[in-house]
Amino acid sequence: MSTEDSDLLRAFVLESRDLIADASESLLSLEREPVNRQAMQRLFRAMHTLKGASGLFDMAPYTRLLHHAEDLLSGLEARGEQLAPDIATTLLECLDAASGWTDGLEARGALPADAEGLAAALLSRLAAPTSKAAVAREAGSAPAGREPAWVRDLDPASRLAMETAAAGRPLHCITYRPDENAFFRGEDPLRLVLQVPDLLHVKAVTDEPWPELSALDPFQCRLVFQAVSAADAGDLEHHFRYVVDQIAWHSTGGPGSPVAEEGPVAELLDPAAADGSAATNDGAKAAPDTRQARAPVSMLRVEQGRVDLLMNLVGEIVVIKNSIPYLARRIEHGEATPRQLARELREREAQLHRVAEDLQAAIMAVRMMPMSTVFQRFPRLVRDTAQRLGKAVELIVDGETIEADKNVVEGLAEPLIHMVRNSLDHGLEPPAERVAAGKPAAGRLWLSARQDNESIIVTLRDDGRGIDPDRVRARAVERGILAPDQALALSEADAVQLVFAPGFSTAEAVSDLSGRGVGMDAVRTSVERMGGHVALRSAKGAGSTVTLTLPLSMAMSQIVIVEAGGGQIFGVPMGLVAETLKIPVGSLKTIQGREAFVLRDEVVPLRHLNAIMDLPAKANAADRSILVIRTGTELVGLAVDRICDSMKTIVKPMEGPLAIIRGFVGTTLLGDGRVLFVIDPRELM
Amino acid sequence: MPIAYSPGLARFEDVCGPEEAEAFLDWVRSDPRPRVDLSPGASPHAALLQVLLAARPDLATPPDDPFLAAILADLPVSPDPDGSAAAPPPSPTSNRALVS
Repeated sequence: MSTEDSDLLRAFVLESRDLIADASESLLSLEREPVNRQAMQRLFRAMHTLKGASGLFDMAPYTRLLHHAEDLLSGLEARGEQLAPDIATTLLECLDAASGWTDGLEARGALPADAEGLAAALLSRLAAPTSKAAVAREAGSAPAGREPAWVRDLDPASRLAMETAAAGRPLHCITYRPDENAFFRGEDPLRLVLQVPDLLHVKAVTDEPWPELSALDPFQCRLVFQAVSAADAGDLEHHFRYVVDQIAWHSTGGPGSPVAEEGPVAELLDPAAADGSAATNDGAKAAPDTRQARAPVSMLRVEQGRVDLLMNLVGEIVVIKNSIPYLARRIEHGEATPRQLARELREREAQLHRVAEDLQAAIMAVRMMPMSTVFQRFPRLVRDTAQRLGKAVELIVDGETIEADKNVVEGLAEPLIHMVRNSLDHGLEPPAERVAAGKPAAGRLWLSARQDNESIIVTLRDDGRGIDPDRVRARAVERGILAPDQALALSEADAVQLVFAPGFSTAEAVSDLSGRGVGMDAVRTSVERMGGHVALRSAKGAGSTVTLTLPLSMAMSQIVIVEAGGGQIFGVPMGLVAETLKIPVGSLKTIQGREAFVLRDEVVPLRHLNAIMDLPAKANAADRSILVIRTGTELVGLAVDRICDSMKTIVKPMEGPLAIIRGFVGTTLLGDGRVLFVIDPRELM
Repeated sequence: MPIAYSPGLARFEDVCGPEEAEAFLDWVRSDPRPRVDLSPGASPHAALLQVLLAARPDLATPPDDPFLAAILADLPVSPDPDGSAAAPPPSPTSNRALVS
């Protein structure tokens, strides 16, 4: 594959994902509101564009499947029918298949090996309504199953000649009615017809006689081509793959025995007739398979304006850079006093500082993505899951336009899926139970995002049965997470938090949806890995709310610089620091042989960074500087020698052999060139 | 130029694209005895085919592609343009003068 080809494929992968998402969304709105014409049109457009784009590549199953999905939709539209639920489900499955194939294309540059089979299975399910649509479309020209008139009218001598030339192979009579606007799309129907493999007969006609020359518009295609070919059905299908919708097709068997076949659809569906196409596809597949699998490339699509801003900033940097040799010359010639020079240098620094800040902001903006990129999959997920569970659920999404760093947005997908499944599976009750409890039969699920300073807050709320603290306590004891007396001592709100404990699952039976004992623990782990935290509130009978708080951007982070071990400095991510304190040594308590202190009526254990890092302890001081660190839902104090400063910086993760060292988030450079280790106190403590 | 025009004769050479269609239509309409020479290898676009089929000019020779020839089978073939083989330099006035 040449570079342009692979660029084209990459563009297709990106575009098709959007189109598939768009089509799924429209399908779901159509299901809710079958008369929504706008959704129907959007769905149709998305399918059409997707089909068109897929035609650029050699992937017949993809194009064929979408072509028939589109056909089905246009049939419904033409007959003024609504989308039946089972058809919607089939169409959604087609989109799933397309989505899976798109992933395959991205990874290997080819459709997966089972694409042909999957396409055939889906096509057979689309078939019943499609063939009706096809009949409706082709009525008048070539009713399905009967020879078109022009085939009957062929001169017997030339017919005999063709049959002789075909030597027993079936003859395919093709009526090709190019679209009126074909020329504007760069098609040349004549060339396409003349290049038909094994062409035996061709004629160009028009539906109506040609107009006066003065009224002739040469750019509006009025031609209808009639062609007969003895080529393989698959080859012909391949030849006309871009104009499948403009072809009507009739095949006759061997000499003198016309076999009625059902127009294009039957031709494509009939496995025997499709043999040829399978063969050609195998050939096409064999080549790409020899290529090595490529790792999916992470792509970023950026608004033009944001790149323009970057460009301007680069221009400013160049201007500042150009002023420096001039300054150097002045120093060389001793033209100014050191004081003047220092002032000028500081001026340049101030300019550079401003540009650097702007650049930072601009590059962050480039990495920003709307939440809708992850939210858009949920309407579908909720619908399918609810259907499978026999529950009625209404999903209310809010805040899709809120933007956050690409990594944050992408990283949210997995925990959110867990959470949504949990809510559907355990939270929301079946309709009967809800009605009995005086709630509306349809459960409600709110998914929202909002921005709060440097954080993004994603909330998932349901109005289901909530979490039963007693059941949670019992389960925690059963699982050996807590001793019975410890469990009883927990407040209701604290007991609920036990669902985050590793190895906890309240589901009575492990369902195929969630409840594999990883659920909320996995959510917490992945959110914390992104530098965020999870909070859960639940009221028995009224529902639960899970709140994820995440940094807006992971590129830049605020860190606190602390001193330990007599002069060594370390960084601590600001996101983990709940507060900083100075406590007189006298106020520290010892509980069960461990140091602790009281913070707003709560006992907080205290650890010493010096002890953890095996550094010399600080000589006796009157008070302790303490960082209060948030670890999950608990607080832990971390005593350091001194709390110095905070700074905004880019923390680089540990690489190479250092990557296995635990307890460090990464490193960053200080202004004087020293390396600052940024610790992860949660792992250290 | 894929189509070379001279009074009474348009000669198609190589690939003749759809952008030629308008000019060709104008020429066919203005020329009193339009004749078209599809030289070997000439490949007209479907837009030009439409003009050929609608205007039915004489063909100097049938095209060498048998299928293109089949499509254009209804067009009359006249190997000789009424005796005047070599056409003088094209100009609208001389064109009219020739006919009158």
